[in-house]
Amino acid sequence: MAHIWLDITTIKGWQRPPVGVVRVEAECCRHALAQGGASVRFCCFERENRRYVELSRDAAAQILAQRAAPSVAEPETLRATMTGRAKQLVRRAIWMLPARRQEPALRKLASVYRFARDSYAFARTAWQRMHDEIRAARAARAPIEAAPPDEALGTAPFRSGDVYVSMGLDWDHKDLDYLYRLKKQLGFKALLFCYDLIPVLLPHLCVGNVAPLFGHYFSGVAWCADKVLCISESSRHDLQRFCDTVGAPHCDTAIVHLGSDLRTNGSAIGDEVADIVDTQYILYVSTIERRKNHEVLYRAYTRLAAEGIVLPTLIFVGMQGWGVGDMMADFELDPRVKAKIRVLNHVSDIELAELFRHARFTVYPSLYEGWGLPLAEGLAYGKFCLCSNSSSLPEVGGDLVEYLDPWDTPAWTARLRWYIEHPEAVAQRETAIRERYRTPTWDETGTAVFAHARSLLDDTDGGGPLNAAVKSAAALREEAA
Amino acid sequence: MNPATHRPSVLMLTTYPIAKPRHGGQLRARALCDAYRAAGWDVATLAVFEAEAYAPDARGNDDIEFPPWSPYRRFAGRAVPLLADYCAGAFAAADDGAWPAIRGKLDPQLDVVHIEQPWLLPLAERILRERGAHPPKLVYGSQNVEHGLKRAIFEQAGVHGADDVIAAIEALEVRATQRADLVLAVTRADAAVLAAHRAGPVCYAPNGIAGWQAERAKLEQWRAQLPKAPWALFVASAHPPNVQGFYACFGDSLACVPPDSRVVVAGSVSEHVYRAACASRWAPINLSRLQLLGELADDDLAAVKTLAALYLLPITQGGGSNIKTAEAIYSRRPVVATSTSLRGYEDYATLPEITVADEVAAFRHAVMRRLLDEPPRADTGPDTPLREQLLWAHCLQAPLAQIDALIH
Repeated sequence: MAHIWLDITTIKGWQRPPVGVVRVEAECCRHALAQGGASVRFCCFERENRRYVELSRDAAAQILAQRAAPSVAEPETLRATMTGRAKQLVRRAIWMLPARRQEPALRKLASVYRFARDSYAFARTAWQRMHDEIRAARAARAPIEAAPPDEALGTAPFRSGDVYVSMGLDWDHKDLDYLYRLKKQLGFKALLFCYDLIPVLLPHLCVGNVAPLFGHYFSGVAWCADKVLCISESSRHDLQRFCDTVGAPHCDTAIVHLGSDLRTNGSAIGDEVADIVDTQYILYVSTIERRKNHEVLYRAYTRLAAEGIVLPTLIFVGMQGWGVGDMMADFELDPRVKAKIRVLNHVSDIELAELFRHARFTVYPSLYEGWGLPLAEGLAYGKFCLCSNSSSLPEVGGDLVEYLDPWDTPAWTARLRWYIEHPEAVAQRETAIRERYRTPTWDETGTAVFAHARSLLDDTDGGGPLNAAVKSAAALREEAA
Repeated sequence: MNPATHRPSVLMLTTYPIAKPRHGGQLRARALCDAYRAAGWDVATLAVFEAEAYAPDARGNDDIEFPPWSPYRRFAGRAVPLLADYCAGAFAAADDGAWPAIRGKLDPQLDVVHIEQPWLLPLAERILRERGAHPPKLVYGSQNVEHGLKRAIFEQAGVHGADDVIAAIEALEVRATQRADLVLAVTRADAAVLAAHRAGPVCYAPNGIAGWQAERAKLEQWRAQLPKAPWALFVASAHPPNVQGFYACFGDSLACVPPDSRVVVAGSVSEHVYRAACASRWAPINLSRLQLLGELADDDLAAVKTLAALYLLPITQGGGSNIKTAEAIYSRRPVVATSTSLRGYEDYATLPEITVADEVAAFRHAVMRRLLDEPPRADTGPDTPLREQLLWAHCLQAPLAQIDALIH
């Protein structure tokens, strides 16, 4: 009996609750455990030993359980508790002073606190920048060391006719040249993923010189895959255009949409989020990096502030990424927007759900996306979005959101002003979303992925060492002519 | 002198030593010398060569260095790069250059002075002048339309403001064509160009090859070092158009090559292919698909050429014809070539194993298919008449007869 092998190398090595690409692999693993049956087995790639090993269903279930989300809330709860206690202690210490000394002491403490906080922010930014430069310099000095074409292949549990499925951080964890040779020798098929080609298309927005490495990775995908699942038409188009550019073979592709249902089990909401949801705010959920274009919102807000508009708080939820240290400092120091832009990170799923539910609306000015999961998540909560018109985002929002050129600051200023001053317009949009938006679920994602895997299993034509579906762009043009 | 016993003598003048031929010019000059000897001629060779470009063991006993610090390295007082070949002529013929040393090496009995490429025409003219009333015959072996090739090399190298240099080279070529008693051209197209400048004969003398036979031990040695999957061979010298053509044909990316295969590069072009790969946007792809062998000894190269599954001829510029083209056709392996590389070998373009591809997409597609598919087998018989015509002995038969007729 032929098997489907789900590679869970990424979640096996992941130490935090799964997000992004890791979440996709985790959800497919969950689906496979629940519904895959005996035909689905699990494996991982040991890069240092250069071999694939089987993982039992119990091992896979244990790995998945250990990476589950709720633990995210626990450090936050702990921090909130410690912060609350520290505040209490300071207040008690102040109250113990003579009355005339309490206010000066408070002012002094606030000044010391601000200095310490700003110094820490500066040091952290400087450290992050230095770390990025070091990492980029190392990447530039270390070209790819290609393995000899005929190095001995390690062991693998796959057999002829099996289907190997991988969707994780393969550019970091896998060797696709090795997979190609293994596939050629053992005669199995490969179902791989394409999330986006941003490091190839927009390398200036990525840390270090990653474009060449990702180029090598995607050329490996083109050579190895019997089918590639793309998360959007935009990504599929980018992949095909990349193959044309470098001369890699074209392979079969299909679209699979990612789920956007949040898990809301578990823990309490922290004080910080609880305070926010009682206020008026606009929400942007995304890592904070140059590609996500928080800059246009900051600029729009400075203009709106200058106009004297009463502005809701702009809440940014996401980890700080590369190349935004100066912008983050502007958020802190620019008196025009200082109190109006807040950055949150380490937000749990349940806190994120609350933030979505109570936001006036969301924004998504990203320069480029492979899909746009936070946009979909916002729509799942019935929230209108003012959204960039780039790449895959129109596929996510359809005609339910409003699109703007991400570089057009005046347009963002004007439309933010409009929706801030016209809540009835937002409400109208939300009505349409509630009536028409259908939330794709992770279960549907898993079902689709394994349906494609099974179709490869059943397709006895092609596969094996020579990918029967490989056609270069020139051959396609010949056939068309 | 008894005509019946007199062995005709020829002095071969080149701007590169030919004791250990590697690049096309050396191979052609060496083959001409061998053809002369086979026809019963006494052959003397003299190269006036860039001292920094050739190792000591590559030099012949009578070869003369053209030092890098020589004032003759300058053109009209300017230091112009990539021009040592042109400048060697004036140096060789000058009293304060190489002439005193050269004069002492000359055989008093000389029937033919043969210059390969026009560069040493000034030296040949001085020799003819010094011989007085009965000068030797002058044979000019053209290998290319040199002024056009030099212009292309300058453009690629970013050398500007050299129109006067190009004009001087063209004038030298025309003078050589007009002055020579016989002109040899490597392609029929070049012959037509040269014929326009003279009333006398222009003889078609295509490049040929020597053929090769690999030793079993060398085959086993190289089989162990080269990929097991079918792989493609690119052999070339460090001549700048070779590197430029390689990446132009592949569109700067070798991703059309299967991951378990390689483009195996041999010859002095290897280092330049590597450097260009490192500088490319697709460096990791390209480096993962290259296996660089550098310059190989003849027996190693014979084994590598025998083991190749596919030959690549990514030539995009330059006139003349290419010895590597002849070798690729002779190999009976599949060949992916540009139409420029088949210049002079147009008759072979319709062979089933030859794929002509001038566009990047077509070139990549052809390489990919040839490396993945079972290659079509050409004639399996030992040398068919068509392939025998590629050998030097056949290519130089008519030219040697015409040269012989000059002195009889």
